[in-house]
Amino acid sequence: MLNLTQEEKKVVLFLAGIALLGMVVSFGLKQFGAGKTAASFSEDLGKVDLNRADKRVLLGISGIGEKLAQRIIDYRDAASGFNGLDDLKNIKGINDSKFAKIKEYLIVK
Amino acid sequence: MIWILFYLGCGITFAHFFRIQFWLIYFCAFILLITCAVFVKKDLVSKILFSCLSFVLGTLLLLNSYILPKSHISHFIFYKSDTVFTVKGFINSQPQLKEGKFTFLFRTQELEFNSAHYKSSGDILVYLKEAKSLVYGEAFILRGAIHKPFKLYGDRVSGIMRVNSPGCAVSLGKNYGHPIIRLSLFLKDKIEAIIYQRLSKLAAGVLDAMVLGEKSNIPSVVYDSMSKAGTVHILVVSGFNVGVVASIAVLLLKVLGISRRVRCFLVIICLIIYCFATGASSPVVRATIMAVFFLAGIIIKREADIRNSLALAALFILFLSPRDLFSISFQLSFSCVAAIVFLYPKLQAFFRSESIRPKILKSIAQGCLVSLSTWLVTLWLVAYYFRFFSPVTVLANIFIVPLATLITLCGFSLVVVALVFPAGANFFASSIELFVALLINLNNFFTRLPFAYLYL
Repeated sequence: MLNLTQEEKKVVLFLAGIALLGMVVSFGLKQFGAGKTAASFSEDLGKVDLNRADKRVLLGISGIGEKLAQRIIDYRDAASGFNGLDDLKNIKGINDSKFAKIKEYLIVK
Repeated sequence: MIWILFYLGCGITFAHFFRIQFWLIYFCAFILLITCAVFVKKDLVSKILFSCLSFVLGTLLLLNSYILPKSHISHFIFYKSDTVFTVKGFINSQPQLKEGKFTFLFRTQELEFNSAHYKSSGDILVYLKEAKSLVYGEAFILRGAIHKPFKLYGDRVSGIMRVNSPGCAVSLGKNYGHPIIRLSLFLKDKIEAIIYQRLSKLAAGVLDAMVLGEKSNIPSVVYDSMSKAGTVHILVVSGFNVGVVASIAVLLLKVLGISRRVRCFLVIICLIIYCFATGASSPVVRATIMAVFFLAGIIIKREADIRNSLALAALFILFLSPRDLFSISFQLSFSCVAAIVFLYPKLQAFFRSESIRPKILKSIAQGCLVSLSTWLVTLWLVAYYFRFFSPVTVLANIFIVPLATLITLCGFSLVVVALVFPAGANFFASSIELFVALLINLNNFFTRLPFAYLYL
């Protein structure tokens, strides 16, 4: 049971000491490595442009189905494009809750 | 080493069941470290103190793993939330394509929601619909809702993100991946391409699991049947596979006339690449570390002790991830090897298998004893986790293991031959088809025997 030589004991002690030191450093980094940063992503990053998106891209958005995608395209063609996201509210099938859900994924350029 | 591992494991288990203050244990560990240094020359006292120090270190390791950085993504998300997050980071696993969706682990670096921008850390599981082909390390900005996962996804997954629109994934065109992992996954893709080009879907799925540890393409019926017969371990990359890779590498390097020491060093690099290519799971990390110690022993002209190598492999894994002590993979892998190292020699002496003649009977008897020793040790774990008991395991393994060995050898040969002499690879492919069909039918035969397995 734990038959270590003097040299082996010293090695184990050295490694244990390093491990303890490492844990304090890791603890410090975990506690003080956070916070808000000034930088932010561009506003339109990763959003779908309503004036350019085709039906396939619109269908990929959570909350937009086959019929709604077609209605959005029909509205865009009829009104010669969207002027703002609020125009979506004029489309049948988009109430306030649906609008709140899908607007995060959309942008009008 | 075994005793240090034992006390460390006890410490981890203690911390798992009792919640204690990190700083309290840290203080104890610090005092113990100093006391050990003072009493290093006293035999009995130092034995007790070193045991305590190992125990306390184990406790600290697990407590430290529970403390997440303030920037960790799990602090920002909830189990049910519709908040849309924009996350910057990189793909931290090999992306899997299934039913038009890519699935991968994503290492988060920055995060934005509710008009606030934060530094972030931790991995999330991403489901990305309809995208171009993705690679490990590719940097992205993703947009979508993230929610906390349930226990089912394991410790590494801190959140689940579904990116429903290709427009919500912006590639940054950079690669943050580690070069060794990138090379390993590139080689894995190439090997998989060879396997799937030349074999039927079923045979390729089985071979992919045996050679590369990729189990996602094995039909659930086959997997279930192997679980019941207790032969599912052949679908895991283990010490045998590591041994085959090392043998192939040694042979090729020997042909090139490279000296023994340099050869060992190059083989170690090959094994590390193979370890990453197969997903660096517990069994393959264990086997790789044990092989590395064996080869390092040759380089420094010292004989490696198998018990110490096994303990060191376990210590290495537990230091990196102490929670692995409670994973089925870790427990089954180490208990199997421990059974072969500790119990098998005792069974061998008890049944006097060394004195059996002729040699062929002796080999069969020894194979039975290896199977019996692993079964005796693992049956408790199998009964506890999977709720069944399979008496047919010992008998099934006597036939299945040699067949699986043959398939693995043919699989590696297929890959090597396909690279140097593609036309010749077809012979290996046909043999593998036959062996896989035989393996599955034989396995089904064993599961249909009376009392082959019992649900608990």
